[in-house]
Amino acid sequence: MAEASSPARELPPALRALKAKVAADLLEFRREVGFRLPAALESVSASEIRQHLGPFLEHTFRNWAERENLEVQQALSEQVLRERSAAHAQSLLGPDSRLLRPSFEVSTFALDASVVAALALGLGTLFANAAVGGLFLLAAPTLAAFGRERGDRALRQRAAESALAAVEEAVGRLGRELDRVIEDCAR
Amino acid sequence: MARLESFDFPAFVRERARSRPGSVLGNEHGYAYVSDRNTRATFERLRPVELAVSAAVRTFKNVGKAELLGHAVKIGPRQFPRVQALVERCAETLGIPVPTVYVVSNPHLNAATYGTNEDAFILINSALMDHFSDAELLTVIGHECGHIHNNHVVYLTAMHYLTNIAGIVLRNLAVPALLSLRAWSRRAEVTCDRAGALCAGKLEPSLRALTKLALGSQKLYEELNIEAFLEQHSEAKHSLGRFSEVFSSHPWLPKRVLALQTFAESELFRRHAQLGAGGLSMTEVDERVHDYIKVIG
Repeated sequence: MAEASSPARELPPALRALKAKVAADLLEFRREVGFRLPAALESVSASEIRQHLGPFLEHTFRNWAERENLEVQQALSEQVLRERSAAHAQSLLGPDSRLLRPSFEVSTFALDASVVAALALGLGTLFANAAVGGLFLLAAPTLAAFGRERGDRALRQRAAESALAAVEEAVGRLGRELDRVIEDCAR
Repeated sequence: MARLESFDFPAFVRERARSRPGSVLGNEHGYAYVSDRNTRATFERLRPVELAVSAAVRTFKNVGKAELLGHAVKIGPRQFPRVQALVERCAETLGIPVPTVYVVSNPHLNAATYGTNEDAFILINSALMDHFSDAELLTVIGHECGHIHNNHVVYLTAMHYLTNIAGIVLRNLAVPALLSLRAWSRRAEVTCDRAGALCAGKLEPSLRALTKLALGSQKLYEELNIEAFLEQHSEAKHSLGRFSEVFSSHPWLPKRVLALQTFAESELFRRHAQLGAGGLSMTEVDERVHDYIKVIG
């Protein structure tokens, strides 16, 4: 265990500072996304969330990660690699900007089943008692509209949770990759 | 440190809608056949009914989906990644979420889309995989994705249930509803043939795929004369038997080929396929297509 952690301790102060800065940047990115996401989700429809949230997060993360990676590379070539060739800095690996697509699975089974039950009861009793049957048939779309509203609310909540988990995962992966790049430079 | 410069989700949504193939002419669904669009507009006015039907479809879909997981093979990044890449390409072209696709063991050349507009799944019969090249498969998957893009799915699923379940129980009571749904479905297929061609980015694979559906024989594909095949339409259009098409959910195949060839002459398709400027307006295309597609009149 002591051997595994020793390379980190042997890092020159400039690289240690760079690692700390990268960690702070990643934390700040995560915090900013978490802060801005709920308002962003409120400003579009549920179907647009389903359709575009994954690509939007990927696009946002990729752009940010590319800039962060560039800054790390610049810092490495300026502070640490003065004596090394610029080609070495160029050969550093770029960040892994893949991002897991958020999941939008929301269960509306109970409400859906009650709509089906209302429809079935309505159709079943319509010819025996038109008033009762009609009432059940009218209740079905009302229940469905209520279910839709609840489903949309649940979807926004689920999308926010799932998007943050996806960002968390991608940020963790990028952090590990940038750490490795910085540590490689110390060798 | 790198700052999070922009986090404008609505602007991103608008930009993606603008960059879709149909948007070449200012409307994301600009490629849709006008008769299909108008019928759907009527459906959408019956919003509460649609919501109730969607809820019913979702309930039964849960059962159907579980059965599929037991009987079919679900395509994904680790299962047939080559086909998954085609699905992702179509979804990206049309701007829809990547749908779930299953390969079903079935000897008929067919594919279908069921579920709800929010959560749709595509079934591709195994025979299609054997008979179709990747380019042709792209047009088939693009066609099915077109159903999702144009919010057809809930009505298609309702039609499926009416045909297979309610049709048996309710029998003649379901006939008027089925005839109306099938009349709409024939128009919707025209829209989705266009979506398939847009996803492929060229016309030829779509035409090959449609003629393969008619032929069903790998041995004869190379010898098929498309012009002679299209003449079948002129021969059939004056016969009394042409009215039997009202019971069909798809237009007859020569009509679909003719409708697609007309679409390929549109400004929208020519721009999307980078064939140069000019071409028919979508109104002109739809007028010509209407002549091919109509069953009565």
